[in-house]
Amino acid sequence: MSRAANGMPAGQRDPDVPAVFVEDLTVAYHDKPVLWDLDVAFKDARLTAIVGPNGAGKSTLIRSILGLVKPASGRALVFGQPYHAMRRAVAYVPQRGSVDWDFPASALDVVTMGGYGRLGWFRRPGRAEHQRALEALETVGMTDLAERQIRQLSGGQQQRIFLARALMQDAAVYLMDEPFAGVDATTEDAILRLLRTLRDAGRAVIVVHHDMLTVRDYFDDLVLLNVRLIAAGTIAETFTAANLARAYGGDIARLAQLAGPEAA
Amino acid sequence: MNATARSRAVDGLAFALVLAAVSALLWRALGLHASDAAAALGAAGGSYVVRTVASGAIVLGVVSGVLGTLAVTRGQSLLGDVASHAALPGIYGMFVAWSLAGMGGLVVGPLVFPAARSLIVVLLGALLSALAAAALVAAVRRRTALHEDAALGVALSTFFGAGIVARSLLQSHSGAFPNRAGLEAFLYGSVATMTRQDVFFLAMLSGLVLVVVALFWKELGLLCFDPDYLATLGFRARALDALLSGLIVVTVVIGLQLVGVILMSALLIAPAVAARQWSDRLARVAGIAVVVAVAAGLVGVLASSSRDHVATGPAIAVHAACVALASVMLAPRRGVLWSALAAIARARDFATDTLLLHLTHHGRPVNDAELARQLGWPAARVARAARPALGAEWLARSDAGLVVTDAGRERAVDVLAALQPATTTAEPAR
Repeated sequence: MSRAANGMPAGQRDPDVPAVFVEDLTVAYHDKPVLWDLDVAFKDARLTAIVGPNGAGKSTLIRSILGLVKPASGRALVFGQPYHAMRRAVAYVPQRGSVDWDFPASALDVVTMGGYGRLGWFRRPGRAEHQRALEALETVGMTDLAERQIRQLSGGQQQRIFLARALMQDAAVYLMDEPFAGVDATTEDAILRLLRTLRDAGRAVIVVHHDMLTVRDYFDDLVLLNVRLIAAGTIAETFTAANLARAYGGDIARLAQLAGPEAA
Repeated sequence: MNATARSRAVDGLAFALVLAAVSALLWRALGLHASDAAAALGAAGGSYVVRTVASGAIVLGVVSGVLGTLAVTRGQSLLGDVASHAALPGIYGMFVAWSLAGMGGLVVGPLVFPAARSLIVVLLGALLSALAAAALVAAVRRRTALHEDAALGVALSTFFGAGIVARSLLQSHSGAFPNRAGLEAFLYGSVATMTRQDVFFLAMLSGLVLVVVALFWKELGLLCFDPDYLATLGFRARALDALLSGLIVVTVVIGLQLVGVILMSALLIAPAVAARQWSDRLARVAGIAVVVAVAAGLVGVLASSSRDHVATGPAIAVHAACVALASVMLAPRRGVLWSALAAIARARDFATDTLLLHLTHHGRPVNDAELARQLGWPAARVARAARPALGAEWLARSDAGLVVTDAGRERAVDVLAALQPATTTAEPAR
């Protein structure tokens, strides 16, 4: 994965332009704001967690970057350009619960879908896509289950299928919505190793995360949200009891334990 | 032959048996005999009328099998129902408009205006009002807080009601529209009115629909599975969704003459539901749905051609529904019967494992009556649970009661290891 990511020719990259830049972003559903006036930048070669309470707008932020949600104001740029111009540089891992796993397809079929963007309209996946899908399956340790119907996979295996599908896109930016939700310990380790490999290859890895206990161990940077931006920066700067209390409210003493001694 | 190929062959055989059994039983239930089948098939080779409607049924079966599979997989089954019912006011409206305009069979220079009763005119009306209903559903879903099922219900009843009103108005002015007799076919479907030109026209339309599906097969499949992901890849998911809805509506319109507005959606939905039971791959599901829909269409039109009292649409719908029901019950692995048997086997294994773990934990022999008391089971259940374990020599019978063998202890370790949860949390609700 040392070569340039898809849609990102090497050597043409302005290092001052962040991988994802969100500016003055406000998103509302039925006039109720779910994200309010957000300014935040995501860097490449960093593992960034998006953390916040339920309804904080974590998924909405990712979906706005992907152009799935139309902002009421502001914009999200990928390498300084609108999403539609840079979509081949971005891969999306949706929440596992967002699709019907009874869909008639094998694990390999779903991973192959990651190649559709590069194929474009009308062209069918061929031998090259088949080969790359098998490689992606191997990366997530699912080679043996390639022909398995997706409903018969465990939650962790389904999550790894979604990751393999995103790997097919070979993108510079990975946006993931709760990839660690409801997976077993083995899968959690495998996913974490994969995310670190992507980061070490220079990719921007942006993850909506829910488990406060692992934020400090897993991530480099943190974006703390509750409709408005609470804090953004490195874990050491931002994962503090004060910030968590501003995001979540409630028991500051308990939050201080989570944040750990050096941040107190 | 490897295991996969063998299991696929068994599935294929089971499917063929289900299809043949349903066809034969329905044929008898409709008051027909084997000799009628022979006569109908003989006639299909010879009679112009039967050959025409049989070709119509095949064309319709192919297109509704494919589009039905996409509709059911996309969760748009009821759209077909709304579209077919909503076609009724368009049928009557276009007929009246065309009759009043006096364009019956008019030839003006190179332009040929078909008669008001002709299929092409009536189906154009059907298409327009069905599309209007589909657009209404989409608008209500997008602009109001109503759930989609409410939007579908409102659109269906409004349009169908308008159609029935138009029908009674037409009946009370029957003098003005002497040609209206053929329109009744569109309510329950009929083999009586179909001409060779009709079949040719419907085949062209079906071919067009299938070419579009083939061009967009990859995109339509992903639309059915994960529309948001499709959109992030740069495809216009909203436009594709509208395209799929449009294709479903056109497919419904193609079937109106043979099956009728009331039951056309059955030929769209039931074969796809049946086919899903027999395969886990989208393309194969579509292929199987085509076979079911063609069989339903052929049985319906042949029965209806042989006996005047058999209405075409209901016969087709009942056949497709029976195949769907039989498939849901009997299909290997997914079938209800299969799951029930598997559940019984699992419960039996679980009882045996529980007994084994209990005795392993105890370490010394326990007699049957004491076991029944400790486990809170009836004595018969203890005996039933012990039988397979005794057969496998995990348990042995001593004077003091049942006791675990060395093999049994190894098995108990395996059972405990398998109890470690593979995933930590429950599946998210869908």
